[in-house]
Amino acid sequence: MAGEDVALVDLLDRLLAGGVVLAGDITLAVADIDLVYVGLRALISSVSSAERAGVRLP
Amino acid sequence: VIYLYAITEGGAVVPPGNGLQDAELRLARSAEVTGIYSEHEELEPRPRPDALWRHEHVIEEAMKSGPALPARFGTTFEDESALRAELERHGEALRAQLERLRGCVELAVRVGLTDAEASPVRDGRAYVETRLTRRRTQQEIVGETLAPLGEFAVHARTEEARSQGEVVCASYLVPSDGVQRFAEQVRAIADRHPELWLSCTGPWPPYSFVELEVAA
Repeated sequence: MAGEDVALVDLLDRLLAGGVVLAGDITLAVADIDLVYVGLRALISSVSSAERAGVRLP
Repeated sequence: VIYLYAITEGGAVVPPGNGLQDAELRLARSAEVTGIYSEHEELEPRPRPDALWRHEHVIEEAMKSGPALPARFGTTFEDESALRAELERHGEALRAQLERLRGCVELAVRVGLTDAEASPVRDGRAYVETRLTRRRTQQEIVGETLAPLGEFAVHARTEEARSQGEVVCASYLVPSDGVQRFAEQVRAIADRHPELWLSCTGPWPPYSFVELEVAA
């Protein structure tokens, strides 16, 4: 469960700050982002050492 | 409105599956590259887990048949011809990026301290200074600890962690066939350092290694 949360935060970080940006529109409600971040970042700090190194292989 | 997921090579085919709102996936072809998109009557992309994963899955499917540049979440265009014009304009740069990232995936690593002890608050300024010094030291230690991972990656990017309890988060660009070896290295580091916790997720599309940002 916690592994899934870490994966989601890793994905969120990358999708909102990485990737190609072309001259289209990027429409995101800032309030939404904060909400998602707060909820997930609280979880990530509770990942125990037992759940570390959970690589999702192809 | 149309929503962009990824940019692939010229000869790309429509990846299996659907996009946001379960919409059909389509291709916008320019001379050099192909954009994967879906069309919507109305769309306000919200970064909710289901939408984020849907965006991710479209790119993952596309990557099964060749290199793909992931698009930033929430990128929309008025219509297909607006997207195609943009692909034409940056065709050469996009193709160079595809070539650079061919056969590579991204792995995400987070590191924190297992027991981050709280320090007593007495003098406000001294407290802040102590914390800053400690944080810098932590970052140096973790940087050294993670250094061996660099040997298994084509590129590495390290960022200061933003959330509490974490010291560093890093991204590694790794050849697809080197993922297993990389993961074993992460495990080996975790075993050698019980004072740290490590997380490693992926393989991801190379979100952190795309070097193309055109001002909107």
